[in-house]
Amino acid sequence: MPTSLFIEHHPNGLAFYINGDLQFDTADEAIYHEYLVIPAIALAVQRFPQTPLRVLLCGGGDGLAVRDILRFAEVSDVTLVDYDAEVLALGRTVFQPYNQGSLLSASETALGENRLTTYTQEAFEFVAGLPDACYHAVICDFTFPTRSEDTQIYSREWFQQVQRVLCPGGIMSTNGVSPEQRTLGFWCLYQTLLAAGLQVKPLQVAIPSFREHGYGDWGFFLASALPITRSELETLVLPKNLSALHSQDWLQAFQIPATIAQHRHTANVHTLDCPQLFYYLLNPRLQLTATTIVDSEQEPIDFLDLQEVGTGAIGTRDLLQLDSIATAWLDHLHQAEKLPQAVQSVTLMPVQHRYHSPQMTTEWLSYLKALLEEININQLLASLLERAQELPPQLVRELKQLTEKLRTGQPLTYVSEHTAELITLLSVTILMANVTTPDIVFAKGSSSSSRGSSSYDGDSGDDQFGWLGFWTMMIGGVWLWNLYKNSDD
Amino acid sequence: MLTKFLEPSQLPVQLEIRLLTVDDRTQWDAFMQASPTGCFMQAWAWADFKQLEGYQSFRYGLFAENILVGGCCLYYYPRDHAANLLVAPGAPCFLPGFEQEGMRLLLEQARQLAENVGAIALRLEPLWLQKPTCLDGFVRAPVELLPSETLLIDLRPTPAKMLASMRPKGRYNIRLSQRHSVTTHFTTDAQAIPVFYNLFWETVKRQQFFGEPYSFFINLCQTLFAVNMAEIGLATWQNEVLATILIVYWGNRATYLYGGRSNTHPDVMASYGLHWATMQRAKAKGCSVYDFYGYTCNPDHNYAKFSQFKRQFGGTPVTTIGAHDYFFYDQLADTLIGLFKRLGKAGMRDEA
Repeated sequence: MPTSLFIEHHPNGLAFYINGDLQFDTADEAIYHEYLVIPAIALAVQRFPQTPLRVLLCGGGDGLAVRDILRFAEVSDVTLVDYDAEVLALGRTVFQPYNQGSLLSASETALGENRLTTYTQEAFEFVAGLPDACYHAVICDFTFPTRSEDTQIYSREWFQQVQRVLCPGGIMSTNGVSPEQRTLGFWCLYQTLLAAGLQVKPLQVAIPSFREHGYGDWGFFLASALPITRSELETLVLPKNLSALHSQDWLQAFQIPATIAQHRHTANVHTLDCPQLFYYLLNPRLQLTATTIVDSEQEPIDFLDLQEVGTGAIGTRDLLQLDSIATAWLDHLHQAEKLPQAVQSVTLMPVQHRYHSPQMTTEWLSYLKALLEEININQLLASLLERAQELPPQLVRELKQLTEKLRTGQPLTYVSEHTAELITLLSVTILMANVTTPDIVFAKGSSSSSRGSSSYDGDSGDDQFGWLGFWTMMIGGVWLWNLYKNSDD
Repeated sequence: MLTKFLEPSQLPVQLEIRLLTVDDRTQWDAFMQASPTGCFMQAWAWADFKQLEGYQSFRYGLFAENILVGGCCLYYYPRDHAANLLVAPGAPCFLPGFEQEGMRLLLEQARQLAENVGAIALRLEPLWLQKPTCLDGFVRAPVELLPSETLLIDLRPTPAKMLASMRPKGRYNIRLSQRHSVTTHFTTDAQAIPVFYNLFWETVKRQQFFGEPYSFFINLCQTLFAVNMAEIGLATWQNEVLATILIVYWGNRATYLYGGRSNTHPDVMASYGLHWATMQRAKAKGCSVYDFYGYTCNPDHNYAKFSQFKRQFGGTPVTTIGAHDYFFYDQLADTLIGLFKRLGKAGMRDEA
């Protein structure tokens, strides 16, 4: 998928967007880049004294992180790998006043000093081809994922590769997501780093321009295969003339509010085989309300004093996939038969796209009846029965009986478990088809009523679907109504 | 030239439908712009914009004797499951007489595409006023791809006659904005995007609508500005931008796609002045229709408040047939059977 770049100029600088997401604003980019880079390199300097340091920077084609890496005279080589040639080109031109010419050669700028080698390549592919233990520090400066595919460079397998190319005791620093706004996504990364065999210190930092865009406080992770201790960090020698990171208070970034930190054990590990991160990013509040047990007055958790082991489970299913959602519906169906309970609507149809909100998706559940009414049940039954050998014999018998009843106009008095499952799968499939296409969720104008016009409030009020209302509507009302509507045609 | 298109009376001719290449771009855009029901969402550049948004686009041209007589751009948002749709906003378009056979050929292509990419239905929304027989087999969709009710202003009369055909309040407020010296400015400078978006988002919050995010407008504006297909209009009073508009030009139609206004200084009627200036500008660009893009006569509809504003400019309400779905039942059955198999439901485990 192509990326879109946009530079917003303002009187005192510029703001840079990739795919509509703010990457940096020159007004405060120093906060982001100094917290991402300085602790990691300073720690590497401390751990590898008298050693020319080799640093790998993944992403960061704007040249701003390179600028801060090159502050350290101990750094002898920097390798920058970024897949986006356009961003690199901007780093050499438009952003040059802000990155101090970090991407230019020694003949063009004093800062470059020929310590930098740049590759235009996918980071995962590049790192997979590196030998073991070849860098003292790895900095990951990636963009916020906008698609599930973008999350590969946040997977356990990725972090394992990073660990492999680090020298023993080497340091990794990675850009995270907002612990405040994407709490489970943030802790998913934490658990994923731990699962990759790294000792991890999370950081939370306030960046005004990020806050203005509604991103909340931003998160980073400092990690190493060897534990990172408080005493190490307290004795770091920081470069002079930093803009944002100050020796007297920077360690406070390791203090995470208890209301956020309490969720760190509830997130799964993100793997290539079973991606979890994008689901958490799109559905950040899904599991938080049920598990909130700490009040906001409680003291923050200081991760400088914690050395935790991973508690995140490896996910068993990608919760954004059709199969997973269908399974959730079927589970609700079978549970509801035994124990009626309310269903949180967003668990029935999680947010699928970054443009969508839970309210939008919830509103779509109210369209289920209208969507099912579109289906010509005779045609669907015919298509299913053409492949009868692939279906359970009991279901085939029931579908044939249904077909016959429709043909003869006999009343339908009973919906079997198999048929109910089929209706459930049909409902999920049709709903998914509609929410998968991003624009349709914005659904301008409505054919059947005024409610479809996009409104924050929707019809649903709260997002709880009572068992009775939901399943009665879906199975009893809609299905029977639909059958007789079509049988009359 | 389009005037050289074959007449239906010349049928039977050999009709062919095929995927277009970039070499067809000029012919395609000319056809869609000339078509009375051509829609900007079928423009080549619009498909480029949708590709930036992650969609795949499939532009099918219907040819008679190698002359373009119809077509449809299908959009598909790729996911790795088959619970998906093919969508065609503002399409298809056919020259008169080619609808029946053109639709049959298009459906064949769509069915094949649905099988290849994984989709259970085709949703299309041509800008037709009545459902023709070529859409037999399609059912009315519960939601639209476009606003099926809209308000069209005829730009052909003189400004004086246009003003005369407005409601008194509309006319008065336009003049009021002029008396307050509200100025208007139109631009394709991307630096206007944040100015536009700030007012748009302020309006979204105030009116509690679902609004598209900033990235959507960055992609839309950067793509359409590059081909002079869209502009941002700004209304300024005493150095403060009070209202904004995103206008799309396509064929003879200028469409008010998005807008926003500040909550401050409503008394200077900046929005009225801006729409009036946009109409004059569209007319100067050769447009004969100003499309308010969404309108309702229903006082209970969510569009009621906006419609009341739009109504002050006069115009004619128009209702098109809305979105229609065609289900590929074999594909739907295939998806359901696949789910049954993979989820290992009781019947499968016990009996299969």
